[in-house]
Amino acid sequence: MSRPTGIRRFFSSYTGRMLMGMLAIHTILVPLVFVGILLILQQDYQSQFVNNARSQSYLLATLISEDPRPDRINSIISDQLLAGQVVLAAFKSIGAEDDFKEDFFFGQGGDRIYHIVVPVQGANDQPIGRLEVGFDETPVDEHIKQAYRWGLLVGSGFIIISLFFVFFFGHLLTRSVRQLRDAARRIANGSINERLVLSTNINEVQDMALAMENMRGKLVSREREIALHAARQSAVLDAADEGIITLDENCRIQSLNPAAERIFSYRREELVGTSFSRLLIPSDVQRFISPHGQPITLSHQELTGLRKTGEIFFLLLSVSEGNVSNTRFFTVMARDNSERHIFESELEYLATHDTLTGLPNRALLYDRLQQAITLCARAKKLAAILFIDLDRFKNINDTLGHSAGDSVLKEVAIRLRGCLREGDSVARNGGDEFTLVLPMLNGSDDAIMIAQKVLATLVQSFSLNGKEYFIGGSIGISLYPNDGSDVDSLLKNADIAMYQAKSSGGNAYRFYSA
Amino acid sequence: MKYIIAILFAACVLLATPVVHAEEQLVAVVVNAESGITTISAKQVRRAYLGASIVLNGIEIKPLLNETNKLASEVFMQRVMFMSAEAYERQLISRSFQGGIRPKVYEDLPELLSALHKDNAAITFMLYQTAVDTPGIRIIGRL
Repeated sequence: MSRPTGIRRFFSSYTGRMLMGMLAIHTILVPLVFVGILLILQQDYQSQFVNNARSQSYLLATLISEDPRPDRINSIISDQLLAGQVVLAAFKSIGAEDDFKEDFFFGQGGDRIYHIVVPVQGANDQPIGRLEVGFDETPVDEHIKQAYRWGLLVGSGFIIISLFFVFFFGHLLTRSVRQLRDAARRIANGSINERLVLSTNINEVQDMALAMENMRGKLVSREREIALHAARQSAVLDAADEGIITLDENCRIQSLNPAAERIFSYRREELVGTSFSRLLIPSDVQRFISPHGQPITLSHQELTGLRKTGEIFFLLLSVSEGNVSNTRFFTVMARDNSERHIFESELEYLATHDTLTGLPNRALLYDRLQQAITLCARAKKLAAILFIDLDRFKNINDTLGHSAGDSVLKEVAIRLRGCLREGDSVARNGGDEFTLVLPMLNGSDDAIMIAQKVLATLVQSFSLNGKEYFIGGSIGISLYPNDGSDVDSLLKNADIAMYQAKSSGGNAYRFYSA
Repeated sequence: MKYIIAILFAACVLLATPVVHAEEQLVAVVVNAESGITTISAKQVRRAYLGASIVLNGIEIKPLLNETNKLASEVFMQRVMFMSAEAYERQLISRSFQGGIRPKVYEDLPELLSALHKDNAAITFMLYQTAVDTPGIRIIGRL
C-alpha cells in the first residue's frame, strides 16, 4: 500500500482529519449561528424603527389635533423635518387628494422611506384631516449592513482561530501517538530490546503504549526462543556426519549442512539454487529424479556421487518428502559410502588371502580350483594341482627365528608367482605349504615344466642376515580329471603325491598314482 | 463583498415584504351579527386592545387579537395601536403585570370566527375585504 505524501499525508493524519472535521462543522454551524443572530438583530432594528415611526406619527397627530391652526401645524412639521429622521411630512385636510401610499413593513416600496398616514381629529374626535409622514430608513439599513459586515468578520475570525487551535491542540494531542509510531518503527527495524517508554497523560495512549510494551516483551521472548531453537537445530545439522540437503519440488537445492559440503567438495553458495542432479553421475540421475523432474523418495539407496573434483564415490541416499505451509520440499540424507566399501574389500581380502605373503589362502584356493575344474570341464582340458612343501624350512625357523622364516616365506611367494603363466594361481595353505592351480593344460608335460621351474627357483639361495641359506621343495601333482573330479579329492591326491616326493629325499615332484 | 451583502440584504427584504394593494389597506372592526355593539371609535379599540375596560351599549367588550393575517395585523398596529407588533407585545406584558386583560390571540381564522360567534361581547379586526366576504359578522368600524 502506497503512503500518501505532502498535503494528502497531512489530511490523512489525526490533526488533518480534526482540522477538516472542525472546518466542516464550522462551515455549517458558524454561518447558521451568525445568520440567525443577524436576522434577529435585523428584525429588532426594523421593529424598533417601525415602532418609533408609528408612535412618533401618533404623537405628531395628537399634537396637531390639540390646536389645528395652519401656522402651528406648519411650525410643528417644520420642526420635525429639521430634526432629520422625518424626511417628509404634510397635513392634508378632509377631502384633499389621497394619493399617498402608506407602508406597513420596513423597506416596503424600495424607496428607503417608511410612509405613514395618521388621521387627525379635532374636538369631539371629529376627523379634520390626515398627517402624512415619511421616515428615513437609511440609518437602520446602514446599521443592519454594518452588523452583517461585523458578523462576517467575527465569523471568519472565529473559524480561523478555531482552526489554529485545532491544529495546535491536534498536533499536541497526536504527539504521543507519533511517539508510539516511532517506537513501533524502531521495533520493526530491529531495536526490539529497547524498552518503550512514553511520557503522556492521555489514558488511551498510555494503555496503547502498555499494550505495545507487553507485545514487545513477548516478541523479545519469542525471538529468543526461536533463536535458541534455530541455534540448536543449526548445531545438530552442523554436527551431523550425514549430509543433509533440502530440495524444492524441482530438485533445486535450498539448503545444505557442512557435512554435505564436505561430501561433495562444494561450498554452500555454489550449490544453493542449482539442481541436485549435478551431484550424481548422469547414469544415476534417473534413479533419483522422476520423469516429472521431482525427487523420488528413497530409503538407503546406494548411488554414485560426483564430487566437484570429478571424483566419483559411493553415495548412500535417503530421500523423504515434507510439507510446510502447503509447500512441498524434500530432505536428502547423504552419506559417503566409500569407506564402507573399502572396509568390506579389506575384510574380503583378509578372509581370502594370507596376510604374510599376500597370496590367496586355502578358502580362495578352493574357489579358484573349483573355477579351474569348471573351466577345464567345459574346454575338455587338463588342470593340475601342485602341492608344494618346503624342504628344511623348519631348520631356518628353529635356528634363525620366526622372523627369518617369515622372510623366507615371503620370498618363496614372490618366486612362485614368477613361475606362473597367465591364468595360473598360487595359494599358501598354511605353514610352509603352497598350492599351485594350473588350468587349461594340454597334457601333463605342461605341469612337469612348471614343477621343474618351481623346484629350480626354490633351490636358489635365500639371503638372511647377510648369509646364504638353501632350502628346496617337494611337489605332489594331481591332474583333473584323471586324479579326481572334485576339489577335495584332487587336493588330497596332490598331498599324497607330495609326501611321496618328500619321502624320496625332497627337491622332487611326483604325480599322484592310485 | 460589499455588493454581495447589499444584494443579499435587498433580496431578504423583498422576500419578507408582501405586496400590498391600496384596497387591501383598510381594516374593519367586526362583531358577530347577533352582537348588540353597533359602533366603536379608533380610540376605544386602541384602549380595549391595550387591556383597558371598554363598555359599549352596556356590554364590556372582549378584544380578540387576529394574527391570522400579517398585513391585517400590521395595518391594525399602525392605524390603531401606533406601535410595532413587538412593542405591542411588550405593552401587553407590561399591562398584564398591572392587572390588565390580555386579548386572546388567534392564529387560525376559523377559530377566530368561532370565538367571535360564541361571544356577543367579542370584537376583532380583519382586512376590510375579508370582513365583507365573511358571513355572520358585522362591521362596526372601518379604520
